[in-house]
Amino acid sequence: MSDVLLELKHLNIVYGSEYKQVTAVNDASITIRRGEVVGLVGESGSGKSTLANGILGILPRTAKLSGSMRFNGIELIGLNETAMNQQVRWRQISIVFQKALAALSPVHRIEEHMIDILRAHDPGIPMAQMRERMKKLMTLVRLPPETVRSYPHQLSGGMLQRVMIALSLLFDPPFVILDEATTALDVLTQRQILSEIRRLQHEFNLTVLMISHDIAAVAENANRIVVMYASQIVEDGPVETVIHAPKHPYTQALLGALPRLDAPTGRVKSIPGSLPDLSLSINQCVFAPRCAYAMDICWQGVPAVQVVEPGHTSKCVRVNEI
Amino acid sequence: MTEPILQVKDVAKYFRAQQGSLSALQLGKPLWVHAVDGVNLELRPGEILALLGESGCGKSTLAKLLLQLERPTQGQIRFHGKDTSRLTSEEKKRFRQHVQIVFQNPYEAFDPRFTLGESLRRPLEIHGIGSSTEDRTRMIAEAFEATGLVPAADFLARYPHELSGGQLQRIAMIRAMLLKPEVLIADEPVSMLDISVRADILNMLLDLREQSGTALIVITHDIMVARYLADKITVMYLGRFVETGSADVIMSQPHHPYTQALIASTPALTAEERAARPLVEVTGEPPKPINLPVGCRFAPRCPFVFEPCRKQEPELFRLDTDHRSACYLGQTVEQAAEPR
Repeated sequence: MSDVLLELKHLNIVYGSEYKQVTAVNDASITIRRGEVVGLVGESGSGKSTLANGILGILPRTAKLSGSMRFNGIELIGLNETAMNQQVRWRQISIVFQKALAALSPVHRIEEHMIDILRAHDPGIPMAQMRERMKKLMTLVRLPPETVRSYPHQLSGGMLQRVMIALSLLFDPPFVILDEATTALDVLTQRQILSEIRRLQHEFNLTVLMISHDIAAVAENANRIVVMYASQIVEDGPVETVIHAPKHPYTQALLGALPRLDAPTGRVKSIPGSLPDLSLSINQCVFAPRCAYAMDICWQGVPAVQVVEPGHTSKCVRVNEI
Repeated sequence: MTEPILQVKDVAKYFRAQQGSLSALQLGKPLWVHAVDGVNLELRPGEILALLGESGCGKSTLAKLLLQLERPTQGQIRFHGKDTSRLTSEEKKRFRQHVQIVFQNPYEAFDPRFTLGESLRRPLEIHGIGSSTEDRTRMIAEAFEATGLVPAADFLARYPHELSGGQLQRIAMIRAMLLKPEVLIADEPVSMLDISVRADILNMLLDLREQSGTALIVITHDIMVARYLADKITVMYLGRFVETGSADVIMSQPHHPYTQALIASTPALTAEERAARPLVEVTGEPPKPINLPVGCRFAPRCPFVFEPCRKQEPELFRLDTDHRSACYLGQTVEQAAEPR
């Protein structure tokens, strides 16, 4: 069994009509190994959620994927819906969304959601076994087993997110995507949920892709950080290295824009300018218009991915100077 | 010491819980939501005060009370010493000009049918600032250019949906600033914005105080925002103030277990930052502000709870000149919270 669980190679995701095409994910390559917790950070519009939904094949029909996306040896691009449902979703890859209330049906009890999913993916499953499974999962996320009898509106935000995590673990998948899973929660609750996730990750050796705009939350919970900006992956490396010695000007600027709790309070700096128009084809460094280090060469073609050291890459031509 | 601009005295706001709830019918008496439950504060010229708390703690209700968008159930809010519920219409107009607000969601803060020029001219007309439309337009254009919204004429002619959230929030700030308010209330001013544009808004707030001496009340759930902007921080929990003090003291020597938990729960970027945080683990979620526990409101979740906490609600005890905490624990809390 290979060590690599998910491998994206030159992945492109383009939303489009006849008139306008927007490249939401541009030439993204990521390799995720078993047991890794990878944090994917980026601001709104950077393409991080499109990437997650692309992995699960739940993008709108207007989205076109190209490149390669291999999960556990299966090529996901072009895989038909039936195979995706029977082999991949829930059983191999599951997702926890930000808004539990939007993801759950308001007129169905939690157990009905669970039974629906269990039956859809395992038609012959007997009732007793389902009850057993639900009870076990509730204990796992530290909710009283009778919580399954509740309707979503009867639960608090923190409890709902625990339910969402239980749902994602229904079929014991090796890979879980957390798409801003704790963003809507208060900090005290967020901390509880994140520590639950860490515990479950250890217990089941889960591989996790944690998508968040909160770099600090990612820094505390992931082994590796992947930074996306305007559809491209600009930096990828171990948490400690990326936080202490970022090697892409965007990562540096982003960290410089963050008010810190403990650091001496100098003024933080915003990043001047705005996101480029992703409907135009980009033949330069995507960050060049906002970059303090930009030179002529940055405008002459998309920079190649530079290896800073093994396991740490940056998409910047001046990587050795910054 | 300068006279306070705003004074809040024992202010409370109760809302009647939604009728039609079965339990309310059975009990036969109305249920009250204690949104704000007896708070006191003073705001002096040029001060920046952060109201820090999580969702449902009453911080936005307090903002509405300060703005007179809601009437307090009890207590008094004074503007330059005068009870705001007794202002004459002339005084009220002055109050409306001098106490301004910037809301969380900039997309909902502008009328979608008006250009930004029209939206910004209107308050100036109402308060008689500027001599003519041209004069007002010039003032707005200058303010736009000063904050990097260039060319200003281009932005003035645009509609809200054509701008990004960061740009709109800057314009919302300008709209308030042009009235030269004495107090600006910023209700979660950056929580909808991306990190890369947050700094602009935060720095505009600091500049406003530096350049015009405007006093600010910043309402936020984000301890980092409070730390960055404020001189004084007041921590709210379930409608009450649980700790007040200078920003430095609150951050370096938080006394109330809830404040400690807030700091401990905020994700830290580096291991060194994490090591500097208190170690406080809190379980559960806040109760609904309808049936509040007897005694301290934080007691059911507090890791340091002991006898007196469940008997009587603690007052804001004075710890130092301006550091107060509503917790029965003396120095023992700090010791208990030392990293073990």
